Amino acid sequence: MSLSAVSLLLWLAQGAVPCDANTRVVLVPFERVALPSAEARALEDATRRAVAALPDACLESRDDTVARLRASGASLSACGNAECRSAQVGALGARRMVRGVALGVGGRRSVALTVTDARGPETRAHFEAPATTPGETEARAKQALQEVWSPLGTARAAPRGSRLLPKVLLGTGGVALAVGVGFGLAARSTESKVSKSGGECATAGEDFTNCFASRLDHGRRQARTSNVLLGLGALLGVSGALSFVWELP
Amino acid sequence: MRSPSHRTLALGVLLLVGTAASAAPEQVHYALIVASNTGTEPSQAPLRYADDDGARYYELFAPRSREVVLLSVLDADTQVLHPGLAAKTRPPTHAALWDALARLNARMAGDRARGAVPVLSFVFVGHGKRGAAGEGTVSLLDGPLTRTELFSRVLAPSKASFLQLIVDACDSYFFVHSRGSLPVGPAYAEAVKGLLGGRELERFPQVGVVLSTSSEQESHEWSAIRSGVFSHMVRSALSGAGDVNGDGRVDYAELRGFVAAASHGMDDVRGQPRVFIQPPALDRAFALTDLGEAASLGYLLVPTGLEGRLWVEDARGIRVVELHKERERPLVLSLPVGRGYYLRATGREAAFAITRASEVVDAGGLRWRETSVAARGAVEDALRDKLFAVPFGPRFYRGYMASLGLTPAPGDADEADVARAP
Repeated sequence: MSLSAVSLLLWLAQGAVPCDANTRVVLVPFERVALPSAEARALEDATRRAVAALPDACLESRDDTVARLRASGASLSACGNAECRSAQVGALGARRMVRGVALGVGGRRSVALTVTDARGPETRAHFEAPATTPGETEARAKQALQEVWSPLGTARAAPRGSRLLPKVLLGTGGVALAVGVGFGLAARSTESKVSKSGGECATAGEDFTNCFASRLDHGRRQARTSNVLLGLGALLGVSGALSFVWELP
Repeated sequence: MRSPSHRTLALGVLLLVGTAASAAPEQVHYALIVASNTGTEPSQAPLRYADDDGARYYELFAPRSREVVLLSVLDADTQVLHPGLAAKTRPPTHAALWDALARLNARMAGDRARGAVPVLSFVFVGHGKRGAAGEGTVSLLDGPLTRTELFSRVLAPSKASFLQLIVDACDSYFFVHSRGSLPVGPAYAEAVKGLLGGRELERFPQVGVVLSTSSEQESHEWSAIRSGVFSHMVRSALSGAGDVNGDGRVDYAELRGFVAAASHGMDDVRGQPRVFIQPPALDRAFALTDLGEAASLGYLLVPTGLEGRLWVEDARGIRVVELHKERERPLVLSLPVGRGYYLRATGREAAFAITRASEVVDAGGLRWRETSVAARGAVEDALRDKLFAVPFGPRFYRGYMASLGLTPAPGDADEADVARAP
């Protein structure tokens, strides 16, 4: 199955699922300079397929976007700061907005893309779109989108709270505590054996002293390991709790 | 959502369109630029920037032309600003002009023989004069070039399928007919039409005309841009600023609207350029420039939302393009390759560079910083404040065309319009 077919299936599959404000991506119909409208539309469609193929994007259909823009009657053109851009994207009920200008200058076709995040950051990319190879435009659109999509994804992942750090700290702390308790129980068992039956060294004869001392050392090591692990587990647990509170929205 | 069958159909239509486009005859561009600071009359004080204008027309046309000829004697400052160009020039004499025309005509005849469409841009910048008998002349180094010679030795024998005549000179309309004592106000256009239409020009339907006539040298040239004002407007428009409908082409009507908007606020400035622009009768939609054609140029995309009076200066400090942009449309400016540039607006600037042909720089992504612009003198202030004072875009263009009783160039609206400001 070709890459385009896979993209199309993804597009169709995603089109069937309603988007919410956390995943909706709006691709505004392209503007164009020095390019016939049919060619500009072909570039827009290729870019649309590339956006739809992004893993975290739920692309709104073109018809819905056009209807939404017509209904809002708002201008998308006058923003000069992050607050304004954020309001624009928010008014469209989207997480991100993709705009483009299809260009036909210098005998070449290309697209200038602008991706605006709901938080206000804006990134830009430009890609050439040769008309010679089918699918090439979509591949180049994907490549260009990857350049501008990832930074936005990283930027918003941290504040939104994947909370990886507290999870790791709490998980590691829990494991340390559990292992520390295990060592503590083992140390208590060793202590009991040594106290009651000489640590099963009665049959050792003249080696009793050495056997007893060895069992005693073994029990002490278990107790020390348990204490260290319990302390480490407590420390990691506190750190995890603090980082959890720190990352609350 | 469109079905795949519709996509296939659309692709088929595109292929058909592409085939039809490729079947259209190729346009081959040539330019002959004559620029002379000196006049033939003792009363004509030397111009300061006619040679600069010639050099800049050369830079405008060279990346998109098969051959460009510059007949000019560049002064010392101009040679410093345009290193290497002086070696490519010839003096603006009659002999050099006839030689250049003969060579270009031979090449254009060859183009026509193989089915191509040769287009010649003939540019004159310098002094003009209306003779005692009413015949206009422009000044070459060795004497005047008369209107009779223009028609008999330039236009008549030309092998160009289309010839674009751009004249920025005193009394220029009397050359085609002439910069000087002209009728003013509404009577001006009628006088020009009468003079041009009633005489030889209508015998050359392949010739489009772009003329400027100002009566005052002081306003004709502006030291801040080291250029004639009208030529600065023409070059700005042809660089893409005049493309009002986004088709990448600047036709005569768009140029006329651009110049009208750019000079709209100059009523109180002495010597406002009087302009006459007429497309070739053979094809009134013929474009003076087409950004879609392959050329050794880079491009600055000025996106929707970026508005106001903007100008592009290159690293030499030369103002290459100037415009006053409406915010509701994107436009593209073509710029020579291999230079650093500044996109400037009042009080701020953003640096960028065009390093290779076909490179597109998105002005929306440039970093702006505050700056200050020095002003010098009353005329400087007037030109700085009045030139390009009115935004040029679809709104101005439609209104301007309506005021002239003309039909605007078509621009097919599409759904992208819904994303623009009302």
